[in-house]
Amino acid sequence: MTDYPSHRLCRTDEIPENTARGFDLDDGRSVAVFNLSGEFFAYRNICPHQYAAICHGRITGTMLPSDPGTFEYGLENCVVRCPWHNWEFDIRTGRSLFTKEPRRLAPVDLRVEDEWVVVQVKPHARPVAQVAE
Amino acid sequence: MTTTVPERDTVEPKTKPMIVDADAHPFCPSEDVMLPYITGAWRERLKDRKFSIGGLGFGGGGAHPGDHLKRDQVPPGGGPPGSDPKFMRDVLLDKWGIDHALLTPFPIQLNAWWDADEAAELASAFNRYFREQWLAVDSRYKLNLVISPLDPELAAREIRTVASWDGISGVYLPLPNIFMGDRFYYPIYKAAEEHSLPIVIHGNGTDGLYQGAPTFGGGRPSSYSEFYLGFPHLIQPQVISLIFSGALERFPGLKIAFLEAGWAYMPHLLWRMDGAWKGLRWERPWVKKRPSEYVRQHMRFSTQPAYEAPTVEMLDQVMQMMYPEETMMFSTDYPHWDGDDPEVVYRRFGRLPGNLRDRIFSGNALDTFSRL
Repeated sequence: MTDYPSHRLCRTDEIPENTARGFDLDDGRSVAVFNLSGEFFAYRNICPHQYAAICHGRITGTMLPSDPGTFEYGLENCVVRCPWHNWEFDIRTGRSLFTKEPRRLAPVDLRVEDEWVVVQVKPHARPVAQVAE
Repeated sequence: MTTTVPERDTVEPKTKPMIVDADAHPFCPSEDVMLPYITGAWRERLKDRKFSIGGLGFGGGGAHPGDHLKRDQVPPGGGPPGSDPKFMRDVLLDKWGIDHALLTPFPIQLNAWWDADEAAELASAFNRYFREQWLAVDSRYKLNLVISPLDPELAAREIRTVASWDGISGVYLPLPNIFMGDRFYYPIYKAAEEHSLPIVIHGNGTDGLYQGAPTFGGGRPSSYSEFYLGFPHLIQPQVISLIFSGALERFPGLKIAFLEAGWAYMPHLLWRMDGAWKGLRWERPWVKKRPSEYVRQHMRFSTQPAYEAPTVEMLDQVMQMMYPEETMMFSTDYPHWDGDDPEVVYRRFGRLPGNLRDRIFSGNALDTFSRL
């Protein structure tokens, strides 16, 4: 973990499995926490595309690359689809899925401490889009 | 950020590049000369019903208001411009030093014909006529064999028959009112791919006028100007359909040349498709690459009609946005009224850096029409 300031966000049972929740920090920034089947992941709460709050995205699987006329569904609950332009990101890595899109969700350090979700966020971070590029 | 536009050479190059004219038109001058190429009872049938090789005409007002063929290109022996292969050899191939002229035969409007069997027979007759009357005259002539789209299985059979002839460059597909990604076309694409023949798309006067022909998006033209200027709108949905239907994944060797409909609309379409795909990929998961990559790999566009851009710098910049080193092919559209004089085109593109100039004047066509 880094030396960045810690923020105790909520108890783990306050984020049901396969949902996300957004937290506004007191310095004005926002963090999205995802509960993927009991495993927690945190990102800055902005889509790197047009900065929508990614915590409002649909948590879903997706159609994997497939042959024409066929569908292969996979990655159930591992995908967050941005509520604005439907860009898809892998909740486990923050990376874009199957499009070679370089912009990604900006990860935030997270740990579970005494059943609490704790994140450490760098103060005054640059905007995510600049970090990604 | 600025677009990188190649610096133009300051002087005309001393040597003329190799030139492939990707779009020239030979015209069959009359029904009488076509009749010997129609087989069996079809000849009597077509004579009886006084068929017109001009096809359907332009009853609704879609004809060019003046002359749709260049008036100064009437052959010495008469007939419409483009109907005499020896005259066209002199005034097009020899005069301008064209190494290959890809012939898309006119006039024929088989996409809006009634009888699918009759249309298939006429397509065969056209191919036989142009082989004997044109390909035999000069080896620089290459023929985009014509098919009727009314029965894709018959069209595929025609492709397989004619593909074995010398001098065949591609397959001219007069489009019906079905997007090009539709499975309707699979037999045609399969046959074309088997024989390394690109599909050639070119308006033929039926568009927006006749049942069966492609319709214009949003309405019906009310004049030749609206019809003619709307051509890009006929092409863009085909590009989208070919990509998002997965047809190009099914036929990875397929190439498509869109002729005489311009090209400067493509940067818009490439950006729009690539952008939307990031959010819609999961709806069509077989689109495995950026849509623009499919365009670069499979689709080509002809230079004619040459844009009258306010400055040459603007023209260069727009062109650079559509990967011209892969997608753009020189064409004259001889003898159509709006065809480009090769020298004028050369003045616009001739001072591009040598590699890009060569790609436009011949390289892209040679790679695409790989049987040249």
